[in-house]
Amino acid sequence: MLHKDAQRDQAELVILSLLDAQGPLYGYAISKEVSGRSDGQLRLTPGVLYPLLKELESEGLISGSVEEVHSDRKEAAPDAAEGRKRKWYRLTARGRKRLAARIEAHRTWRRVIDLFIARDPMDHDQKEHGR
Amino acid sequence: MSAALRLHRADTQPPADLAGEFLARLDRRLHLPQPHRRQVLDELACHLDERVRDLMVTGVTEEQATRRAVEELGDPMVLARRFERAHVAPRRRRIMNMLMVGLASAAALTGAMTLRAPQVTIRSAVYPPPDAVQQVPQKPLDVQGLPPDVQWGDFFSLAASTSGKSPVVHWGALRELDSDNFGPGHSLGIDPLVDQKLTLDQFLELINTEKGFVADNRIEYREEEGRLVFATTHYFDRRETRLVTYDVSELLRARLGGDADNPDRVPGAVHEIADLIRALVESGMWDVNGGSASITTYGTKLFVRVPQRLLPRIEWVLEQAADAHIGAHQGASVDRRQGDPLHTPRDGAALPPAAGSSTVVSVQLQRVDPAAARQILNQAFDGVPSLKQCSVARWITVDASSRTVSVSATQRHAEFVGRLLTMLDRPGADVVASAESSMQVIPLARVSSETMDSLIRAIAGGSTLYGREFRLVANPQQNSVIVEGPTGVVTALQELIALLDTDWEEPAKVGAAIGR
Repeated sequence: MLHKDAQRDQAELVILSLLDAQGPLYGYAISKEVSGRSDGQLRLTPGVLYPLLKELESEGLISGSVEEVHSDRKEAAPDAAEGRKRKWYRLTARGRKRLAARIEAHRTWRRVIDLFIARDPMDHDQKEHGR
Repeated sequence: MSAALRLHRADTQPPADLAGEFLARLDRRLHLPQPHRRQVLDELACHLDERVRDLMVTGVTEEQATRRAVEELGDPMVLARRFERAHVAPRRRRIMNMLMVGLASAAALTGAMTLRAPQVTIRSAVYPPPDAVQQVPQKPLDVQGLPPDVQWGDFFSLAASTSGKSPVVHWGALRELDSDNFGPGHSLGIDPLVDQKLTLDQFLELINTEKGFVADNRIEYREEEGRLVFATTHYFDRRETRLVTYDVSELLRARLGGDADNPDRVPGAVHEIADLIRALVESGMWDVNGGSASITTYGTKLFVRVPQRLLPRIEWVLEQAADAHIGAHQGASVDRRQGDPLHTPRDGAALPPAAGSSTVVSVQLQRVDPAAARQILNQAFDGVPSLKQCSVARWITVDASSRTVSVSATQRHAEFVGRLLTMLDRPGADVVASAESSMQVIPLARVSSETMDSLIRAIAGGSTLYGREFRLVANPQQNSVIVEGPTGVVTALQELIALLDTDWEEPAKVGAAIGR
């Protein structure tokens, strides 16, 4: 349970950071940015991403607005001739506050965890070398 | 619904219909208010469109691309549940989030974990004795024989027969969870039951999670005399309520030392322990909060009436309390080291006499108008039910010319009001100067989070302090409050809350004794 929550919170941090850095983005663009920036190490699958966006929107951390776009694949979806509705998200003031808190919590967490992790092997080597 | 979302059944489908069918399946399962549902479907349609286009660039056919894009979205049933939870959950999550954020920093700053084992044993007796641990043999349920759209009746029968029992289902209790969807002939509404090799426990976990039933009320079962009984947590709580006694005399000895036999000290200390339990163990279920569980104290004993499942938590709280260093918080020792401008007036004659041992405390206000200060105190004491009875308003006098507010009451009470006034009168400049915002989780030891919430609102006259907005969220589960706002305001609130988190029973009793 905690595990799931932690993953979700990290995903939240990533999404809010992206919107803060990049300005408004839509769902698919977010998923591409995430895997692009992390060299594919981090993936937000659409089955997780879209419900999470909905949740963040319900919480008032991001707000969405719909834009009509015309599909360039009309032959594939002839009935959608009126166009697709793309939903753009932007960070709200509340989202910015949450982001700050998340970043702070993340840093604290990292600092605390670092206290438990054995010294960096590089450090170790240098010490050994120095003796 | 546009024609693109029409359902087709054919072995080779045009790509658009693969996507359309997926969206149609999702649409059927998605229980959201209309505008939200439409937006979700539009958004995913747009996603599929773009994803297919991107995949086709890599050289796959449109059909392959569509198939893959649809697969990436996963099971429509699971997806629908996630959207529904996302739509409903935020209120609960918001608090949890803040707690997690707050806890991470609080733990780092204060090292808030206790690892020491308690030194004191709490003697307890349970009546009736806890039942022997129930264990239903957990064979995987053979769901192969069930029809695809499984009904609740079939599911419960299968679960019972798998363990060689006959099913007893309390439909009435189950309908408390979801009035529309429980009945022998109602469908479970969970698609892929078939092919899953799960035990009864695993199935119930899956169902409870999928349906979004929360931890304190969900589907549960008990095994009894050849029967398997299905109902809810609340139902079993009602049936499994126990009367338990705890003798806390050793805890009191650790806490009060030589005063452990003092008849003036013991009842208060025992009440405090009872309050601690009410605050920490599912605070919503106690009689004082409208629930059915209760704690009655008698001498050094607590008589606790609760569902059996909560006993381990109560015992944990008692063990932890035995280990606490309470001396630091003890009632009469209000900390005066911070140099409060509290002083005894030269002329106390203007004050009405207070019976018993009374103290007069006067505060000369620098900023706040004395009449306004008095009104704020009245508001605070009127706004909070538990404070009404110990209102000190009639002992407060105002001298407008010297801007002095004087309070005559018992020492503790008077000092409290004095400190409260000092705090209200503190310079606001340093508070307002900071533009940074911060958030703090403040655990409460004595006052319930709801009481604190209304108290702060009464004092602040809403959600503004020193002209700056703040947010305060009561979290009854942890008995804490979360405050968020400009850093200076948060710090001021922290101090205020620490001051208010006091034992209100004592002033109430004092008030009664004085004949108010």
